Amino acid sequence: MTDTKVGRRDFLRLSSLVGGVAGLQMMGLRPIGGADLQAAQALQDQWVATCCNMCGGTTGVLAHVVNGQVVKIEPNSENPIGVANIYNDFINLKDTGARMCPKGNASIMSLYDPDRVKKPLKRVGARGAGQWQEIPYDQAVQEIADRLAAIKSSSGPEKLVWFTEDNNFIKIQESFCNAFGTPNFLQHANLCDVARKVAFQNTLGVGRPLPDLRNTRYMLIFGWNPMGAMKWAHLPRIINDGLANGAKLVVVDPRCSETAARGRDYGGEWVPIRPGTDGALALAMANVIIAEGLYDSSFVSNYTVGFNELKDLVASKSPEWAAGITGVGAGTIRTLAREVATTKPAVIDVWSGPGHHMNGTEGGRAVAMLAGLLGQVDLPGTLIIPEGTGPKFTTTPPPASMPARVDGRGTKYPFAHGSGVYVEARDAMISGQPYRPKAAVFVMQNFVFSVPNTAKNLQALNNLELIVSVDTHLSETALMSDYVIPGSVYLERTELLGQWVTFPVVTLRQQVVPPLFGQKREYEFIQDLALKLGYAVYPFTVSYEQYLDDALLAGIGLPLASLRALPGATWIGGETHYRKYVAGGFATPSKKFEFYSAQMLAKGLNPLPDYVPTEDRPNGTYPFYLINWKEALHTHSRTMNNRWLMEFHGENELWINSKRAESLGIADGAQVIVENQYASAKAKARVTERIHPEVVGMTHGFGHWGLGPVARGKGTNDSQFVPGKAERISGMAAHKDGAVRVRKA
Amino acid sequence: MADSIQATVTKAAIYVDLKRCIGCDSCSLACKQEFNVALGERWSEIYGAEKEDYPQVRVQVLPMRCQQCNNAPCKTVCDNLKYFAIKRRPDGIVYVDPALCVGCQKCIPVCPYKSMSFNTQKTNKLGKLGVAEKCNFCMQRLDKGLLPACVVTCLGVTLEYGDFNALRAKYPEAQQMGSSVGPRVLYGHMGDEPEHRTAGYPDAVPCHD
Repeated sequence: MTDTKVGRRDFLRLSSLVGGVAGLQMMGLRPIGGADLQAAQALQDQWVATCCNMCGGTTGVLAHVVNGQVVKIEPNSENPIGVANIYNDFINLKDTGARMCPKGNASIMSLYDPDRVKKPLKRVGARGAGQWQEIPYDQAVQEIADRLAAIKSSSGPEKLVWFTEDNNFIKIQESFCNAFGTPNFLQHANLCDVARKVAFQNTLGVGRPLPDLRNTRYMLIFGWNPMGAMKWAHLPRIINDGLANGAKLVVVDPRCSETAARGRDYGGEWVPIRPGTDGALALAMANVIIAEGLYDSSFVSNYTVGFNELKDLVASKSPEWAAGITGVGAGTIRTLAREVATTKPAVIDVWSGPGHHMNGTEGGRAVAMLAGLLGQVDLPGTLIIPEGTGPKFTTTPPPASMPARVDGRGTKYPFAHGSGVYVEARDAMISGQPYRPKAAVFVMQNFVFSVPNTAKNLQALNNLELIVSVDTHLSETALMSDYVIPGSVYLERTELLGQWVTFPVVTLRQQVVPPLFGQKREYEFIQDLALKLGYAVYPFTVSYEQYLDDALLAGIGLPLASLRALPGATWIGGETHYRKYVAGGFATPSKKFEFYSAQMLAKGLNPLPDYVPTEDRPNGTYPFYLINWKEALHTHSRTMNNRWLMEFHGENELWINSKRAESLGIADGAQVIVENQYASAKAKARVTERIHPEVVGMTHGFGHWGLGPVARGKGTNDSQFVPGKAERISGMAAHKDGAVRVRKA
Repeated sequence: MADSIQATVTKAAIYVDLKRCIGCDSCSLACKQEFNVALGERWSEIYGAEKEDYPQVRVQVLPMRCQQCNNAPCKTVCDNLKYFAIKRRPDGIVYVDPALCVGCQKCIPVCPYKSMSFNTQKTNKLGKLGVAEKCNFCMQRLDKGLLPACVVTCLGVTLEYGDFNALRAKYPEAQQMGSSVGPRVLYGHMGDEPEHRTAGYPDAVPCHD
């Protein structure tokens, strides 16, 4: 089962040579029989429309199934994700086909990965020792239910903390937490982009405006790499189209990302910046724009609040002031400010580069100010306020009074995103403040690798009495668990998804093949666990498809069967609309674009996005900033056992600027030691011109000791070096704060 | 659209707009899927290189696969050995017939683009493991009216399949690599070609004859 040479080719050959059933058994898979066999035969050769989940981007795909096996994944041009995010662009481009990223193209190798967890596992050795006993599913559910019930009755329901990926089967999990009585339901967004969400929410009233990159003339992007870490498969295409139409692309980033590099080929610029100083740069640009009268006075006077306060704030934020902080020349700052102010329409956007620092919300707000000053909001070619819609799920109601949350959402972190604060929940497991959790459930979550500061994560988990993981692989978190329930790959399950485009779209992710090992899907496990605990209420008592059907009817008035029958299993609810704020205002307390946020002031925060230095910066001992990033070939820490993806990028490298490498005597490809007060580890140096001299960094998610034989020991875990704090406004994990030294190994 | 793909193509070719390529390898993974390319082998890959110093650095990427040469060195060497396992279709696509391949590997080193693979998991004409393999522009898809797998997946919308002369006329600036053998891949916006694979960095691999 750990033969790294076994791939899909072997899987298919074994299946056909030895006969389907025997072949499956050789692979450790469940024989097909009964109803499943009939289902498989009915699916002799067909294409099934579904949505990818190799990452959270939910790109529309078509799965080719032959004799019950998935043999190919191709793009689904009826689904806008992969085509374009503006309605007219989608309609005009769909005949030229949707697009799909390398991870989606490697889906089959995740589905048929021989290293998947196939049976429920119970820990028999010491925690983390990796000794397991396979147990029947019913026994696993019973034992987990018994232990949860015991913890609830002895210590209170809030001692259970539930962690999950966030675009899958959320509402059934929320229902479980409500029925159990724990307020501690957390989703992964606070490890992702909630600084951006909270920044925009508190400025223009919506957490995720989407950039119209295809119809713009200027793209000013702070810390986002949509041509490398493309969450949505249409992003590279719409940017390329925008560039081909003459737009200029300027990327502010410590690293010359794929996006920055592509912009340069079209006369754009890479602006290397010190990590965590983007807010200072944006404020200085606002200074120039206001001082030189370049702002959109009509938009500012009609649709914004706080201009005078912003003007006072930035009066002292000269380009010279920002140059000292950011390392970007004052002349460059002036030029960029004048350019973006006079080249419209412009997309001004900020994502998780600046967002993963302890000043992420302030930095994001400062960038958002520029869009407001220039009126570049909700017009073609600017940041669009999406008109999303989706299913409306009914959840099991929570008890009349819930205990306080363990993670400070809404209290210690006044504007924390609904997904909670992973870092704070982790710290509570160590400190016991405000109380010590006793049990954790992880659904599709490799907590140990995903939360910054790996040692603290392990320490926290060691303090728990009960850990349950639902995962496709024995991740580092699953390895720390008492029970591991086999998870599903997206091709094995059915879900409803509202799509992240500017117009209303609901699509179906649907089962393409039955679960390979006969395992229950995540949502079915949760239903079974709820029933075993005696919660014989909706939605645990209905089939999951019934639950989806109810939610879809409630949300858009469409039965599930009708959505399934639509071309590409995709429902389009309307077009992209612009300048919606003229009639309806912005969804902020003032109904205006808020340079000044009274609700932030009311919570004791600065109502203006003043510059606050980030934390844990380099010093004499640890002279380099350490950053990390995502890339096209991998998702988070979960694709590193995919044999095809690992063939194309099998280990991460520590990027270091050539001048600094030379002075340290580090050659390209050499082994180096990366170290700070939290960890010391080897890495392979990549000597490059593409990174700021004060910065080193690597792709996130490598350096596994779990997951599988392909992943193990490849590359370096970046998170082990990160202090592991949460940003105090949004609760966002500060993944990109931290400093290290580097020396020859 | 399906029927028209091959109807107008007398000389199969792919145009690559290097200004749109982001080097993501989606094409390479689509190829792995389409042909179930053996683990460790790739019929398509991306070369990459850095040019100029910080901060004026430029990044160059180059999708590389079989160029379907008019005068294909792989076919010549195979024909000279009388195996005739490498064939040419009327539309110019050069392909390996696995039933005739003896696994001698003489075609591997002669490819000017290092685009010939050797599948050690497949049985050859002599009943032994080892068959030469390479990109054939997805000719089985073309015959069904489908575009090549790499073309339909490409995130940057970088690749265009069509008739060589039509593409030549459409993109008069396009260049060919290794013109002495007459390849069928046209590269737009070509500069100094990269000398490194992005994935295998910094393993230098010449990709130009």
